[in-house]
Amino acid sequence: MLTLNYIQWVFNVCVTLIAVPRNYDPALHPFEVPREYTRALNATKLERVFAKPFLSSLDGHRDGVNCMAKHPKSLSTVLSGACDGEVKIWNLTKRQCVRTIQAHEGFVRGMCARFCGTSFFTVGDDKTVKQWKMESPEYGEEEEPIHTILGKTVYTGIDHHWKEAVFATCGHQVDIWDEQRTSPMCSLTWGFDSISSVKFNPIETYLLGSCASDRNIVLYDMRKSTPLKKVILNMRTNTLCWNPMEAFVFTAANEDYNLYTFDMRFLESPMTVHMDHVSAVLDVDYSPTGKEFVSASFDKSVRIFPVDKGHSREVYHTKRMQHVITVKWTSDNKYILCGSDEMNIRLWKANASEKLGVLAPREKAAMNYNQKLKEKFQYHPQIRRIAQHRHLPKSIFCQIKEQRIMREARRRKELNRRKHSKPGSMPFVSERKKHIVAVVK
Amino acid sequence: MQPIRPKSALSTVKKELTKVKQKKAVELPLSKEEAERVVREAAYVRTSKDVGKWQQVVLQNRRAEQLVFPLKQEIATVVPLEQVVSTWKARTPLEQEIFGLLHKTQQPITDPLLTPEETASLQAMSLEEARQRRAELQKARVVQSYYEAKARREKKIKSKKYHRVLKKSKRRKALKEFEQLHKTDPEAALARLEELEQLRMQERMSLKHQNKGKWARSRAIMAKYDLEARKAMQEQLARNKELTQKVRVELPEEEPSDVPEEDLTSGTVPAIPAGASGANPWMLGKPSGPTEEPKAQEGLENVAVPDAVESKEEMEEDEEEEELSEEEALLQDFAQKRHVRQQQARSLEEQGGELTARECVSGVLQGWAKARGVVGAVFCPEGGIDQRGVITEAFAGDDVVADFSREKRKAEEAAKPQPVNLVLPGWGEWGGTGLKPSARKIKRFLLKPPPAPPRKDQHLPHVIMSERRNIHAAAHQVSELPFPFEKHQQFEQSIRTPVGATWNTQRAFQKLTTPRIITRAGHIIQPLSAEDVPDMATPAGAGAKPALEIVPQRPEPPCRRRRRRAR
Repeated sequence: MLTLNYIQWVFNVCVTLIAVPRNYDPALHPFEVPREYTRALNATKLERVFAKPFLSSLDGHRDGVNCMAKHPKSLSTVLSGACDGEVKIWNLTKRQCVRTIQAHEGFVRGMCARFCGTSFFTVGDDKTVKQWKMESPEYGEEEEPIHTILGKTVYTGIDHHWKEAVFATCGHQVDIWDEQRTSPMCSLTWGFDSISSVKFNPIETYLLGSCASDRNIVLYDMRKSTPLKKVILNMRTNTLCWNPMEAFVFTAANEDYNLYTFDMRFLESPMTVHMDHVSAVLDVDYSPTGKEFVSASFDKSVRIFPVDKGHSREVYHTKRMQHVITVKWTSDNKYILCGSDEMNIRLWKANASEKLGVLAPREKAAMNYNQKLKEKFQYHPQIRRIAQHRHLPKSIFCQIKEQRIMREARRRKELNRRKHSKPGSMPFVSERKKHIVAVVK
Repeated sequence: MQPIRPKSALSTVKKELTKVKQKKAVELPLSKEEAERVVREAAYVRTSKDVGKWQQVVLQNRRAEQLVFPLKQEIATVVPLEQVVSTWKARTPLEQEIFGLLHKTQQPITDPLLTPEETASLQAMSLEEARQRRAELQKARVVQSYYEAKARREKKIKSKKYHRVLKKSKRRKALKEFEQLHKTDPEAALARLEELEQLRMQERMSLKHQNKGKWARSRAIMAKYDLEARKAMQEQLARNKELTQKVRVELPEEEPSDVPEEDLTSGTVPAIPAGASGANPWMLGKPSGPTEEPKAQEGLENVAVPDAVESKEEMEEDEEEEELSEEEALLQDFAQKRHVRQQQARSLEEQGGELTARECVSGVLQGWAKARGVVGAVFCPEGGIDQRGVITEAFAGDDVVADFSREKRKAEEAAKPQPVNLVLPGWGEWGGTGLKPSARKIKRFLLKPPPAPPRKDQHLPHVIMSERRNIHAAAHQVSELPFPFEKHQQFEQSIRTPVGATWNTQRAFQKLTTPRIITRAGHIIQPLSAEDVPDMATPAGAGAKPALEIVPQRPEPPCRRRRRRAR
């Protein structure tokens, strides 16, 4: 449509010559590829120069941070629960703690905010589920939960439904509660193992996924009150997270240093295996655009993976940050929060070299051009070398080398075995299927 | 008594047995686990189907060139008051009464831009009229804005030179205008004269331009060293003199009839100040007395003023003459050259010889040299041919073409891949000094390389293209085809097309560099929901499967490798 109008305008306006401010004759602008290659190289180098992702550290907890929850309506609020039963509410713009609640005796095992943003739930080692108001209490009032549910067993995780007044807890079994009742609506069990985490699907809101200590992941359907399928992996999954843009995709953070992205309909083999961590992966959270996710690991680092790639695009680490227990990606797709063992919550930029704040249109155009150039020349060796270079702490660097040697040794041995055995007696197993033990109906 | 035919005790049992055999056995209920498994399977199949309805949306999002978040972009609009109010209806009797009244007189209920009367009157006016009126208004507005802008621009100018020139031109214009006015409207001319007299009086009284003020004093200090300052001070004094002059009107002395008029004007001039200025009692004097002295002065001034005017004009003329003279000189030069060239051409045509460019040039140069009177320029008529001869003499021994082809052959031979010589004399046969290895051995051990691909400079006889691999360039080049591309040409094309603004128009550049994901700062991105995708297919109607299905078909690991290994 636009082109048509322009041509009409040209015919209407000009008779002989169109006055163009620039001469687009390619003979006057030679060497397109080398010039653009140089610009891409410079853009890559500058990206590394401006990659300063660390923003600030929220200090205040007196024990390691065990769990975090996002406020569904406010971008500047985040809740965190510590290993001494304390729950703190933080204001990210002021980077200060706004409210402190002594919620439980013992660990705060899990917390979640209600979808409307007016209250939040916590579960702890003292076998209770408590519901609290999101607003601070009035002057003179004491911090008291709206509602307390006493259970018989320890609850290890909690998640709230995305649309209804229903929440699910996990411990011995997965219980689905109505907010008004003190006993669960239904309990879903499959086997005798303790379940470490449970998550509701944000799109098909009746689906749940849970991770058990029996090295399995189980999917449940809330409407029919029945589990659906179980997939057993090589090692235990710590948490899982559903993709907010793709209804049937979830990612599981596993103890065998990998993350597995599954399609719910085809659990025999994961869609992708994400390998880059050098120790157990403890938590995973998706970006709200559904294109990337962030993972927190026992190896004191936080990594950002694209959903379709097997390796990370970014790694964040600090000397002061110890084992990262929990991680969240904020709902405006810009920041990453990670809570670690040493009582601090750190705020990072999701895009390390991004300029925050309002950009002038020329700036934006220049940044878009640089991004496009980097994508165009991403396969060239010099550009790839610079773009993927990240400084790593010595421990992680040495671990990576060691694990590479071990993997190479295993591969060499497998090749030798295959070479010296009857052809066809050793079938090729794809990397994806290697980590799945069984799928149980 | 016993029965005649003894019945067997098992007959009842037999009957029961036959009965039971006829009936089918009730099926065993499934064990709890089995039952659960069945339920789970059914639920899983159903749920997979339900979830599968998102397949199209997910694929679309994955393939999309650009995703804009948040998905629901609500633009806040203000509903116009008329719309809000039009939905209101009168309910109570009081409201209805008032509403009726307003309707009768066609008064507006709300406060719209145009009342119904105004709209009616507008409609009464014809379309053409309306158009014309609008055009007029627009034109007036445009003209007004143009002049306003011009005035604003001119007000801003601070340059001193500009202002000096402007003042001068204004003065000249004023003079000319006055003369014109005198010719056309003598009364107005008299009025103007009066004004000038006023100015003169003011100047004489206030003594403004006498180099006495703060500015003049400061300039006086600088005047000793600075030419500009001196000039400025002199200008001020000149201005003073100008203003204090008595104005005399100069009439052209063509007609004798004008002479008495002259006398009249010259006579009436001193009378005007006497009569017209009521506010100035000192001017109400005897006309006879002052007329004699001013007459004498006027006579002098008459001479002085026109002289000044004349001299000014002469000066201008002189300047113009000078300028003209330079231009004239250049023009004369060109004309001369042209003349000379034409003469040459004519002469050569007559001769019938070939006219080379060099000869022409030399001819022109000759003409030029003559015109300028350049001494020492030696040009012979056959200058070009002589030069050529010199060049051929100098390079007589060089055969450039043959040399080059020899060099090219050498380069080709050097670049050819050399055969590897693995011949070892003596193994399997006699060896020693003077003995050559057999032809069979040479044939076996002299490894010939495969023929090299044709050189790029094959068809270019005057060019040598080096086929050597540049290591420093190779460090920046891609060595194997990257994953998403299937052919080398595809990849090369993707690299060859430029993306920047230097090679593309601005619109094309914008389209090429649009980012993949756009988010709005400060907006929460909610997870996908059914409302965001209104045209999602129902689970039952999802039968039409697309041609491309990435996820459901699980691709097998590449079989090529397997086949190779199985050799």
